[in-house]
Amino acid sequence: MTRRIFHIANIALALAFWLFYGLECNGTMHGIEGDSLFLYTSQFAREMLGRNGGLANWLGAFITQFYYYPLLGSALVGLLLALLAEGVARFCKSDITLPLALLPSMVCAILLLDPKWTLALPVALCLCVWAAYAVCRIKVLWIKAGCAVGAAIFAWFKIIDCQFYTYAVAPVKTYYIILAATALICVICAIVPQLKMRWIPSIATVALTAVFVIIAPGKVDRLQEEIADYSHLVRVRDWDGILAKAAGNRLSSPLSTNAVNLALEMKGRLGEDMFNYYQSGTRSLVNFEERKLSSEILYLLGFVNEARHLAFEDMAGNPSRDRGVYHLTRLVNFNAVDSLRRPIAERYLNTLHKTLFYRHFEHEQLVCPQMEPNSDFFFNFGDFCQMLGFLYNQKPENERARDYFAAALLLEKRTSVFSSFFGESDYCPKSWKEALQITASINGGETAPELLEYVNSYNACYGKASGMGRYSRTYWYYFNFR
Amino acid sequence: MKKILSYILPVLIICACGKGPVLETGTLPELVPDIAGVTVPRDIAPLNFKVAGAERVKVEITAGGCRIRVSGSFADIPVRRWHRLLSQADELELRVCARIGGKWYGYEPFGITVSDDAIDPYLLYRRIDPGYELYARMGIYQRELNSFKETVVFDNSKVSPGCMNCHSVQRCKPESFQLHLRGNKGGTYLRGGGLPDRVVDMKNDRTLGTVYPYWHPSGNYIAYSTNDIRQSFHNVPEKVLEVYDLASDIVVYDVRKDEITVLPLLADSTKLETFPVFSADGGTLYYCCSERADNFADVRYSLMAVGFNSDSCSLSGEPRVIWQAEGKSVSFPRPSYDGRWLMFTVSDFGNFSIWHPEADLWMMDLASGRARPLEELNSPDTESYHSWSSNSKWVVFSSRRIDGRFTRPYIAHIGEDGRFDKPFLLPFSSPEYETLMLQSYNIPEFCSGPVSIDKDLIYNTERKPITVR
Repeated sequence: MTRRIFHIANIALALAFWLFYGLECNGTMHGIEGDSLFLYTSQFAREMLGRNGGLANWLGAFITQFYYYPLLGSALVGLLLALLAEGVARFCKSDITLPLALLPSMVCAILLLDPKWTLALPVALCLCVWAAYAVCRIKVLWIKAGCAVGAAIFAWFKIIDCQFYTYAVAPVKTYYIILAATALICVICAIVPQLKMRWIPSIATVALTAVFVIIAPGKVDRLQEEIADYSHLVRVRDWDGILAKAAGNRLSSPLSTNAVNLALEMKGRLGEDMFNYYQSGTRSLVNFEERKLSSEILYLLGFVNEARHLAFEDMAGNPSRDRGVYHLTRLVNFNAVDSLRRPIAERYLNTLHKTLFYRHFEHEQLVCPQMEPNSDFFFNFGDFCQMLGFLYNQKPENERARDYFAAALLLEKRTSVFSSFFGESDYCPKSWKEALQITASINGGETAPELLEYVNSYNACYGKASGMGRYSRTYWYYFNFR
Repeated sequence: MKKILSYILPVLIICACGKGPVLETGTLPELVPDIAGVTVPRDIAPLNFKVAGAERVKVEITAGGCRIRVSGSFADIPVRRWHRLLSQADELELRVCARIGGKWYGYEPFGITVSDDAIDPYLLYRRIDPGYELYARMGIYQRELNSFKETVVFDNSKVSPGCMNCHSVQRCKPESFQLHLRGNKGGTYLRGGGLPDRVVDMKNDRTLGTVYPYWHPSGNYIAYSTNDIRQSFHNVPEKVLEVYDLASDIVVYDVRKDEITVLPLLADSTKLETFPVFSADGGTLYYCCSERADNFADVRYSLMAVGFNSDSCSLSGEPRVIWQAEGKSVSFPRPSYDGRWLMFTVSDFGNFSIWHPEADLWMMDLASGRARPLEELNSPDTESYHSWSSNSKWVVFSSRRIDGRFTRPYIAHIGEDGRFDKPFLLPFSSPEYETLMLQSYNIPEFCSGPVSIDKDLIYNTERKPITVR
């Protein structure tokens, strides 16, 4: 009975993890998948397996590639966690110790909700537990002793010393405590004899499962998940998805605003709708600290060299020090813009074609060489507005550069400069009209007839606590109050 | 017998090409890498290759009465049989059939010349992602030239992702070796001068950080440039980035005393002096020098020479220009160890030629002072760093000719007349390995033996301070 309950709890936990991780953390999963690479070449296997902890790393990377489809990836991880619990349970002589068998997989599940922990952790635990179980099953003592020594040496070099954390400064103590605790649980399970406590193990199992289900969701970093989700939508060019996600939701981070502004631009609505969302200076357009997203923005604007630079730096700065498929796809796209750089794109493409999910990847054609600057200048991260001005001056036909340049001027509240560039423009979306009205009012010019009533109403409300909310989506409100 | 074989072999190879007819193209195959007509040393790993676009190749290599037949997706030549063949032949003939789109094509045979001039058994290089500012993975590696075996000398996997470079051996001898490390385990690893290996801290308040090294033939000194380096990023498709110096001087380091000597003549703050190298006899110091300019694109380096007195570690005479050209800039002078030649890189401006597609190799005959572009080595893309084998019969140089980005080492043989034979790409175990290698091969240097360094010195010892004279 208790063993059956244990199996039900184990399956329930795996299913809970599958659904929760696959549905609630799919942005994070896509991020992890993008930062990893698994090649179907002997060279890659040799290189990976040759390193310390290579087997755990290699298997971990193998499973991670399936994060491409989050529900598939989380199902495999759920299965791995269930296998781990089952492996530990195999040591249990007594039903009373069965609830303990769930602990290592629960701890792994909770740690995996933090994207810094890698799949090498549950893989290493699983391999070690099942290897220990297999050794214990050997009947002949000297063979058992030999296998134990061999397995221990192999496990130490090729499994335990794995890359369980993506950052160089890893919580090594925590890792070894988890390993030791799992070993201890196995030992306890193996030595505690059968006791007559029929219901206690069952109740403990159910209670543990319930505690896990309550605790686990709280371990997800919602802000990071939001950013990861927006980043993924940018990566797959799902502009409608971004706007649908943003509709009615507060954007918790400037990075989310970056993605929304980009989506608006790609749908041709930046000038019209950008002030429907909270804006805060030019960092609402791009944040260079976040290299992935900013490289996408620069690329789509036509700053291809700089986009490539940031994508490359992001790859080089990957905490795991490995290349990711995300970076390779970007480097293909960014290098394939013109014939000059296409052989470099081919090099990255050759690598992608050795993966499972990108073997048919081809470069996109969202940017053409005509959008790029034709007169050289050094990119200055400190003055994005000026860089946009350079690009717009060189390529006035680049509408994305035009809209972003206008948006940057508006966000920096440089309305007179804005007027000098766009005062005579035939294209004049809502925010532009509002900005031009501000210049007109400062310079004593005339208000556009279609805005007259609106301006009078705004002026009547100005400074009063009530009523201004109606105008929070105007450039005037941004200009005066942000 | 040979004559009979020469008739029979083409028939055999055509028969070996499989079922169905073989279409004779009458042309050379499109080889990847291009090995047709190259000259190789006897102790070189097999030149494995593929035919572009081919699903399968069949190759027959003949020399005298011996032959090797291989087939597969690429020509994977057995190492032992290849060496046996090379040990007996001066000329190899290769016949190739390739299956492309289900049809077999036969090509004109081509040759590979085998030179009796020996080559140093190791190649030392840095492998680095061809990037910009961050260095996730890089390391110094050595490759056995007669096989595909590559070993790590030192990589940054156990230290913070800092830069490491400017590894240098004295005249291809691993007994004198230096390596700069940056980041939290920064310092200069030094072997030589009759002292135990140590890691020294070259930083001091009188000079900028030491960068480009070159050993004196005596092994007692290393000339360094000290550079304040900056990089900026271009925004037009044809350019990537610019690396330039705001200031640079030249100093000489006494390896026996761990002491830097500042050379006032080469520490002129109105000039940029860099890339110091000693002549084969050690009596001359060659370097590159430019006037400072407000615009980096106006900085053009001339090739200079000045006498060097190794007894007193001082300069003698006045620096003189030995080569300059209108609108051109010189970098990486490298004299051959036999004292006959001086090879250097010429680009349109600046000194960081690896990012200049127009950069080419030139060579000066030191006896006549005449220089010429090395058309037999240059390509439309970048050729940059280069170094000589210990017997000055081979040169290895960096080139970006494959795709314009990933630097690969090419090796070429020089004849008595100073003309180079067609260069060949460092042999890789498979063309796929080269294709999937997303790192550049940087600063290739021949080495007569394996280099090993004491990593514990890097990880766990205090950096030894130096004195400045």
